[in-house]
Amino acid sequence: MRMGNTRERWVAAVSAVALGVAAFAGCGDTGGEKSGGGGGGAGASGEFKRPITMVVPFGPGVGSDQAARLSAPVIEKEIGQQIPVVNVPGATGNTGMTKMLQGPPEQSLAIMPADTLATVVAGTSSFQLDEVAPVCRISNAPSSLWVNTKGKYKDWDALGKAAKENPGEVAVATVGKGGIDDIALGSLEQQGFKFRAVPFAEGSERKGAVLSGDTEAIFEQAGDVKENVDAGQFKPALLFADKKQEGLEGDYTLASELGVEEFLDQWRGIFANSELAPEQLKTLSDACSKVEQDPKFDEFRKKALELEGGFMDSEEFGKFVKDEQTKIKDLGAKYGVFK
Amino acid sequence: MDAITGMVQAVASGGFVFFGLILLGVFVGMLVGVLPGLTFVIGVLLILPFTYAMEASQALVLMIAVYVAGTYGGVLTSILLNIPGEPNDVPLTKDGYTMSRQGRAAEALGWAALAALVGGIVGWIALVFVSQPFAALALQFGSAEYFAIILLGLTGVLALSESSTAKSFISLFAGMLVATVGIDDIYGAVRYDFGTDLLRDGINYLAILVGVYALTESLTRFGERFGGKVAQQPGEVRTTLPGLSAIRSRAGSFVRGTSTGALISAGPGVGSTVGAFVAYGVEKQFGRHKLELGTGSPSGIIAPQAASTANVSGALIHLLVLGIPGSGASAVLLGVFQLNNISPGPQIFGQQPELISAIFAGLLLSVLAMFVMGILAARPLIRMLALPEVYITAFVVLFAYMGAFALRQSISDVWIMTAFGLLGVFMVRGGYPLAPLVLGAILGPLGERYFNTTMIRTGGDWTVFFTRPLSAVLLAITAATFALLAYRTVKENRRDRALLEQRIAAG
Repeated sequence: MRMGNTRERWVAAVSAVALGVAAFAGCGDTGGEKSGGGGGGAGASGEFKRPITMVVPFGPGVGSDQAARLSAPVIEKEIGQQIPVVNVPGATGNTGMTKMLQGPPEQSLAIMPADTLATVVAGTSSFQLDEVAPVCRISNAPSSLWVNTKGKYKDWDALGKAAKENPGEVAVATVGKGGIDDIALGSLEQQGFKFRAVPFAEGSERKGAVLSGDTEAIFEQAGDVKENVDAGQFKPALLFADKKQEGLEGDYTLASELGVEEFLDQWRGIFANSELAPEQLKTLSDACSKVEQDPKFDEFRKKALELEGGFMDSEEFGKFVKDEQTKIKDLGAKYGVFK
Repeated sequence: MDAITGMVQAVASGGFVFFGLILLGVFVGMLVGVLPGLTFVIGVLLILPFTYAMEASQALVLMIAVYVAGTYGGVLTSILLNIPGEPNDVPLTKDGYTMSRQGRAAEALGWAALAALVGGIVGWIALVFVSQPFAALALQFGSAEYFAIILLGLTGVLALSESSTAKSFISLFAGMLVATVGIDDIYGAVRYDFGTDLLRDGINYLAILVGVYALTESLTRFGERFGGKVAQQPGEVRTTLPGLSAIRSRAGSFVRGTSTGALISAGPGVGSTVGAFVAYGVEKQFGRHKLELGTGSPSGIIAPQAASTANVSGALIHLLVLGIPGSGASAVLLGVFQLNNISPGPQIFGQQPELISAIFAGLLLSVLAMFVMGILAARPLIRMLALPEVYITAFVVLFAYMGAFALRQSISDVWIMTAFGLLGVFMVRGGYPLAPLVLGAILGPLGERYFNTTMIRTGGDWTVFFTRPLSAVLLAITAATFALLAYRTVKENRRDRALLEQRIAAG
């Protein structure tokens, strides 16, 4: 008797769950994937008939998120459609990019940084470059090595000297293995400065590592360590560029002075699905050109110490991404980052 | 003094919304406390999707209000009806319900309300004054120390589990194994995805939490046809606060309960339930009124209740200072931080002073609101028991699915949540505890990450764990706990075998 009872209960329970899931799957369908298919005819005129979702493949509040939330209203005004911003973090931007590609092409955009492109080159990405169409580049900034103001090495001279004397012993906190960070450190190794890259997944852990003395330096853009610099905790030691950065104070060294010739900047761009009609891509690209003149965006750019003239239109950005891909691949191979 | 100014500012800038959220949170917390089958962990989980549109400080204040009030709401049903609304109410049911039957229900409710208030406020004082100096110290912790803390936490989960050690072990390892699925943090390697996108993104621990707490509990109750806990209505619901002289004679119970709760929560992986049980045990061993415990003694209510509520502050200190959640509820809070892209840890005190002030102020106001509402709203809350459980469970299932989907707007999480909900049912039936599974899934990846970082930093030199003093001390404590655990298991097994042999001998 007990057996029968139990089985009955189980059938009921499992079917209740199945019903719930089915109801859910149903909702998802009507709301998302299928509804976009019908609107194809509008593409040729370059107009948009429905709101476009902009995916930020990182959590709220980070640079990419701020950039997306500031550019969306500007593009909204130009194209006459709403652009809601959603955060889909995970796997250095790959989760969000996959999410964008799953949506209908004319209702989907995403913002993507150089770090995510590096995962494509490394072969660890969940999408390929020909699946996405570059719309525009909206920002660009060089990276630096920062040291703890109370740490063992207070400037590049001390840090570089230590790295030369004890190759591979001086630790630098980085984002993850095989990224832009490793390539930059590879370029230093070429010049005789061999550091040990210690990857930390979370920004706060990376910074914490420098504060606790777990690592001697950290690889970041100025915008991401601004709070620590303002609090007097970090100072720049080495800038990966061939000229001083506007707004970045301190007696830092330029990597070009050490003989490093090629740099990978941290840029951010807006990408669409490559199936989007070319006319619509043009509309978006034109609308995006207004972003850099927007006073609010300009204020953000200055605060985050991004370089001026970061904007590129669809065509220019497309070429840039291709070149950047080759560059990451070549430099990665040269410095032994991608094997 | 800065702390106080900051809190006043946080309240002032939050305005009515701030108070509104606290009242809402306290009400929800009390409600889930009263309703059997709904624990406060489920409460904070179910409210999570509604916080996505809020600012981080608002979301956290709301969740903390639910969390604190959830440690108290269950008191009402425990004392009046002998139905522990929450696991942490079990120890106080004995004396509470006995007092009720002696016609002293109002008095019992008064002692419980006062104990929750005292535990909450003392815990709050500890949070405000201990967390910052602790954070300053924690800034010096490197990845080796963090690894040792996690390892101690994992051992603590096992040591304090009420189920058999072997089953806790299996549950813990299952959680740790599950958490390795997806792309690893450091090398970007894809693990155990079996070629599916669903698993490639990894398994979000919040999806596991929703599954094994909300869905499993609903299914289990459904399987029991919501039987067992008869929801009769008590005749009279009144609260009488004790007089000053009575309080003075019970002062020791307040002190023991609060300090036990606060101290025990300093160990990672220790929730309110353990705090309440240990506090009751301490009271029984060392209390002035130890002999009257179990026969309707106020001390049997005061100690566990004060410990349960004080425990919230301990869990918050842990979460804020180290960024490591110690319990199911604080794991959900960690999720709120992460969804807002804030990483709790020693730096948070310098970088997000407003947020910290809002949390401090929110906790204090929640404790006060809980006290007032506990006295005034006891009657309507008890009325809610007349609501058939089947409706409540239906809502829980609905919210569980909404919550899982809302995590990343991904249907994958819905499937994962469902899978863990079903797994949870089988685990409960097999007598496997769920808490180690969840904490393994949360702490496992952190431990792995800190271990890897330490190894990369030192170039593979593992002696660093023993040469750094703090790490060495923590590992020694871990080893001692582990030895105790092994001893206990062997003893248990021997006793079981002896029993079995006796039974066989007896035919």
